[in-house]
Amino acid sequence: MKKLIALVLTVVLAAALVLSGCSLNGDGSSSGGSKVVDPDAEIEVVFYHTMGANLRSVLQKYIVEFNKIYPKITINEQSIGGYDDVRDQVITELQAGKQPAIAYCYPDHVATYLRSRKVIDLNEYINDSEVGLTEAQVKDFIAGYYEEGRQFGDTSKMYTLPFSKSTEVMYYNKTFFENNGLKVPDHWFASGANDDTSLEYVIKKIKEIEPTSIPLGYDSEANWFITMTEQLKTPYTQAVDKVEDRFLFNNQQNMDFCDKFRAWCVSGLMTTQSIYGGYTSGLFTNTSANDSGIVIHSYISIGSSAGATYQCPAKSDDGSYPFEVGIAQIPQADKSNQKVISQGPSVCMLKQKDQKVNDAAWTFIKFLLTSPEFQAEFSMTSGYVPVLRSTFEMDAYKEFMSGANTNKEGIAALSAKICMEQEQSYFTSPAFVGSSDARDQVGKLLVAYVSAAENASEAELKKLFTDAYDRCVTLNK
Amino acid sequence: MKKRSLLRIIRNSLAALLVLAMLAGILLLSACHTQKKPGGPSGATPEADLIGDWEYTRDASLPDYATMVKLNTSDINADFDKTGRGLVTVEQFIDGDTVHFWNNSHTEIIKVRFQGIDTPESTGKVEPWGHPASIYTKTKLKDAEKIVLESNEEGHATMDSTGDRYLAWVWYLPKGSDTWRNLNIEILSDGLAMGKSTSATRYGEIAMDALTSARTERINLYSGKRDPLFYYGETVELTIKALVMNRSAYNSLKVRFEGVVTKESGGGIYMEQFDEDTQQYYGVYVYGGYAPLAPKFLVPGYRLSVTGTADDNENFGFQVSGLSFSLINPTDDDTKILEKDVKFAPTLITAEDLLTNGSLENTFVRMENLKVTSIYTTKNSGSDSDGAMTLTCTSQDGKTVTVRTVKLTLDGETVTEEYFAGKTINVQGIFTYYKDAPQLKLFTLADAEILQ
Repeated sequence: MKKLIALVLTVVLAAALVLSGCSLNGDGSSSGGSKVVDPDAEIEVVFYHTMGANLRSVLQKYIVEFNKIYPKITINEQSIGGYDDVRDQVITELQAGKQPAIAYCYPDHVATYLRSRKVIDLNEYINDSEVGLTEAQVKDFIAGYYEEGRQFGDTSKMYTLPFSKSTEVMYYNKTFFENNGLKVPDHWFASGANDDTSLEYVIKKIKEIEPTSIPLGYDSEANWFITMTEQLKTPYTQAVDKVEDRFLFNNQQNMDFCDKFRAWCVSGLMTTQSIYGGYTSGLFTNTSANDSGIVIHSYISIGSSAGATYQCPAKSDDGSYPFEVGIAQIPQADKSNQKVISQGPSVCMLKQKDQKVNDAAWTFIKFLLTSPEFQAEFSMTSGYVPVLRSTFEMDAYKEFMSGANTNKEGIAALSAKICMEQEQSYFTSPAFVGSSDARDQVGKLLVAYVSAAENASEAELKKLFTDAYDRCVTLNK
Repeated sequence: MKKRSLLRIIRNSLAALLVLAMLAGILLLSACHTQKKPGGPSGATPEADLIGDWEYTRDASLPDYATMVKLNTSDINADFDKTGRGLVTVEQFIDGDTVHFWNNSHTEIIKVRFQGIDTPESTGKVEPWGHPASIYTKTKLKDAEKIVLESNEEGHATMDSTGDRYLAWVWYLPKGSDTWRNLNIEILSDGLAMGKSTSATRYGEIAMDALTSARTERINLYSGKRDPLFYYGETVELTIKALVMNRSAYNSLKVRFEGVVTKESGGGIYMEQFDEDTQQYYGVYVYGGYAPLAPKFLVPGYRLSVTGTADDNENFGFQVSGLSFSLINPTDDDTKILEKDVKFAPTLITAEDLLTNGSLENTFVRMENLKVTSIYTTKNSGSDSDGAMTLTCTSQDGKTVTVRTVKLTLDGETVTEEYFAGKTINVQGIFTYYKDAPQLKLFTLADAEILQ
């Protein structure tokens, strides 16, 4: 009899929930019902990001605009440090139930947050008939960026929306290239001694012309390794249950390209951020002599498209530029499989106990991310690329882009232009618990491999791969 | 918080009234321009006091995170730049997370960015809690018995991402104490910094605890309260003359003025504005920063409306910084181009003017018939000033004046002393100060005319 009563009560309770249009989430917060913000409710939305002073000014300007419509919603935006600091802070606060409502994120971060079951499936809002996105608003997002929000295993769930984008581009000293009749390389490895559009040929030529130079600087070792695996279609990682099977980068094909880069490093043809000890833009723009009176610099620098202003040398005090900067797509391994890494922050929403806060957070995200004006200003202030198509149709943005040139005045626009032209080549790696460890480890692995002692044995080099794999597994067991 | 901080807030709120009083005062002051000037953009005044006054006393009931980590003192008598750990002395305070030190053997200046933390800006662009963080660091280190730098990695020093500064943990021994304190962690625990890749560092666990404590206890930056040293008031609209003749009054205030850009230099511009009353130009240096839009606005020959924070900085001298730019719906606070291709010319001045009329600082000036009597060339490989020259000249009335050049080039080659040696020249450039001494700064060879 007791069982029957319990069953009836359960059915009644379930029916009541369905009828009221409410459901209970794992953390006790409710979702469902109207998501329209109560105009009379005082609500605070905490937003963690990594913006510096200039970008915060842009954000605050749009918060002012937002508050003209929603005066009772306070956006408490906080710059937390770097992306990893946001991740660490959010993880700490998820454990205490004090997480922010909105956070800057990368896919790896979200994969970790998902274990807390406090990441909101944005489809709950996007598809809502009252507060959701219209079809036109969804289509206004550049498709490749928008779809990144579904890359967490279950494609019916949408956990992130793109905030701004960048990729890696190849900066080169245009003046030096023109003066020496060098071609801009479009692929990595020389197919023969006269393959003058290969990076390998060009950096060797530069070294011949200027033996004291380090022709190539590559900022992110992790990006380099991962990008090579995408371009060469060699195994890197996969999102599966068994930890040992998630990390696939320990293979001969990957050792082969590392061997080639190692040979370049040993010959003084290239360096990376870790080996050089700073962003390689410092080497690229260097015009000062060292203690021996030699100006050591690079002539090619591969780094973020959002860092273009740092790749441009400062104007001399006499008003001239030491050299012009060209920008091109990074070299490819296979013209039929062109790949460049997709970078730049997205945002996710983290569940709050008060449903009104979730609704207000969505209202703000929608306001910000569907605004072509905000996207344009953010891009023009940072060098990041807008995620909305309509931004590119704005007169002011067109004017900004029309100023693209090879000097400081137009380098950010030029970089954004090159970045956008590669939209079809963007890739992201699978995001899962442990994917950020894989990224960390392959970055360290590449550095260790290319800078290992000249007489390092094959076994010692192989062990670097094995050790990196073992660390990934150990960290995720 | 000290009483003086409260007084400062009151003072800030009365800024608008003060402006009126100041303007009246300026009229009286303008007749007398002879004054000792603080350093301009190139003239650092290392001993100058930091802005305002501020003090924080930690709640004694909170954990002392700064002593929860221990310094290995066995090898601190080495040079940090060689071994990654070593005693140092302060060479120059920059801001809350950057200080320049002498290494233990006093042979190298070590520019250090504090590991794992990021304090709000107090140079270039001033942010809330930037000045308190800067004062905090200076206060802790200036009275320390000893200071040790320690690299995050054992055995060698590491650089930050710019490749220009070392990253380090900063330890100090307070006077009368035998317990080393980790300043990076102390700054975090006292709520004056954000984290910066904090958890991945050698003291990451304690540092993250310190940061979490500051956030939980809502200390300083995390208090939700206003920074007592930050100006939140209305923008003061004024002339360049009013601004530069009353630097201390406007220091740290948000100001707006108009002027013509005369020269670009060091990521910023020199601007000047003519004053009808005194029939002369007044100039100011405005720092533009790395914003991609800045080069579109900060162009010689443009007349601009500029809004920024006036900052009498001990490292960079008096300047206006914190500019914003927008091509879309610019707000009152964004920099605006009022006119392009404005014709401007240097003010012809005498040696006497250069030596005595400090009110011309940062204006575009011209001097004629200067006989170059001696030349010093800066030889500092690795520095942008390598090859720059100081020309000591005699004017026609027998006065000695200084012309300082940047590294000048002619047909791609660096101009050397022979170009000017023994010549009589006409030059035009910016009136600046270097270590309190006036000089004309020459930026391009086109601004120098050799007479004989």
